[in-house]
Amino acid sequence: MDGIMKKNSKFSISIFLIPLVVFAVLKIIWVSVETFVLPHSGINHVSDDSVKPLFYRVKLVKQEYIKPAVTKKPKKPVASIKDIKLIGIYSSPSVVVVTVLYKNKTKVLSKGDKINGFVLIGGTNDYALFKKNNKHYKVDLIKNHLNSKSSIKVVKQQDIKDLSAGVVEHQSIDRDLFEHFANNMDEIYKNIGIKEIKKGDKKVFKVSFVKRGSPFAKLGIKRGDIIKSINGQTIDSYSAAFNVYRGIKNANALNVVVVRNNKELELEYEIN
Amino acid sequence: MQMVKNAFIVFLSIWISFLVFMPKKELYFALEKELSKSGIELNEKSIDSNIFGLDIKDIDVYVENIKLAHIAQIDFKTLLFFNTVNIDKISIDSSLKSMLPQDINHTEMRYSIFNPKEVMVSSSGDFGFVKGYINIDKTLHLDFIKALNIKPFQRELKKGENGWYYEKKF
Repeated sequence: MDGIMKKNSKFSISIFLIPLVVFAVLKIIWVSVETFVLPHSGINHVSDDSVKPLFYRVKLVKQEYIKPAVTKKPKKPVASIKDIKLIGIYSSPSVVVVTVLYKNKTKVLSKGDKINGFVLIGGTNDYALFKKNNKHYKVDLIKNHLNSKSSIKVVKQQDIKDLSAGVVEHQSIDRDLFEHFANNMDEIYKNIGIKEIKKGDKKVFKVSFVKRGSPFAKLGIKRGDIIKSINGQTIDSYSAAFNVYRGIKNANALNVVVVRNNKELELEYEIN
Repeated sequence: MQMVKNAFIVFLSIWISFLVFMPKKELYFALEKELSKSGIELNEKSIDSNIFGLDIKDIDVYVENIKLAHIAQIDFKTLLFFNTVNIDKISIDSSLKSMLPQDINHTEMRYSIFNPKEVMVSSSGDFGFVKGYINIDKTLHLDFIKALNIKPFQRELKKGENGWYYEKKF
């Protein structure tokens, strides 16, 4: 009888004691793992809500009071490009407007306008292109028009292509076509290949192919172009590219800055 | 007999205490950390742990900093020898509509020690119903048991003897 009671009491003790010991051991193990091995907080994505720069750009030199000329110089008999000082450039998808100083007067010219017989045919951030008698003239933007002169260069016919590599190109895109691409990402990748390339710590996105005859080829994008920015948004990550893609549906214009042959080139498109 | 009973008590105690004291939230954070190495980040509104699992609600899924999906709820359940993950209402970004179905109503993943090399997967949504597995070779195979609205992403699928299927190695 005593033996049975002893056995029963041993069993009842083991029923409570064993689990308690196991619980205590497991608790200690888990607490140790939790404390020394596992992270105590999760990783949360923080959105980059930085403000995007405005799409259009205006570049003007410092405007100061212009003193009237003291000495009167005899008028040059032949019109010279040297009389034109480029003091400001404005560019939008459809307009190139420059401000020039000509005979101590500022004049605003848009593409196609004439001054002193020179026709404005284009412009970039830093210079304007004029044409006269089938000769092209590159007039650089001056930093301070009171003290300096525009650097002027006559451009040879064979150099026009190179020079125009930096000129803002304006084209228009059919809105239906634009929306088709904006709504079908896979259609973009059928026509153009873009590869991510690491340059040090930075990522750049390089055009690996452009389908011949595709809308992208017609827009002037070429294989090897590095896409630097789209509508003012720097393309340095997939998220930046995706943010542009998402927000582009309602855009009225598209501005793409690419690096081609180590030169920055701005492509501007109006969406009609 | 006493030995067997004791062994059973020990086993049961270990099993229960292992599950009850498991730091589930911290394990989920570890999973988040591991996913972040692959560029996947999860932003959740709430994490509630219970005896056998974890309940996570309102999750935004970011891949390479791009928000690609929203999940209404993920429910992890574990009994150690049998584990399930139930995912409710996955809404995928419309920009991926040509690659993935837009709305996935329910997805279940099951892992059992009796089939240790595979995680069984089943899912339903406006695309129909799929059943498949993820195996040890890191292959996801899904058979379309019922294919409904699959046209938008049909080019991602292959046609086999038993109908459409999706297969991808990762």
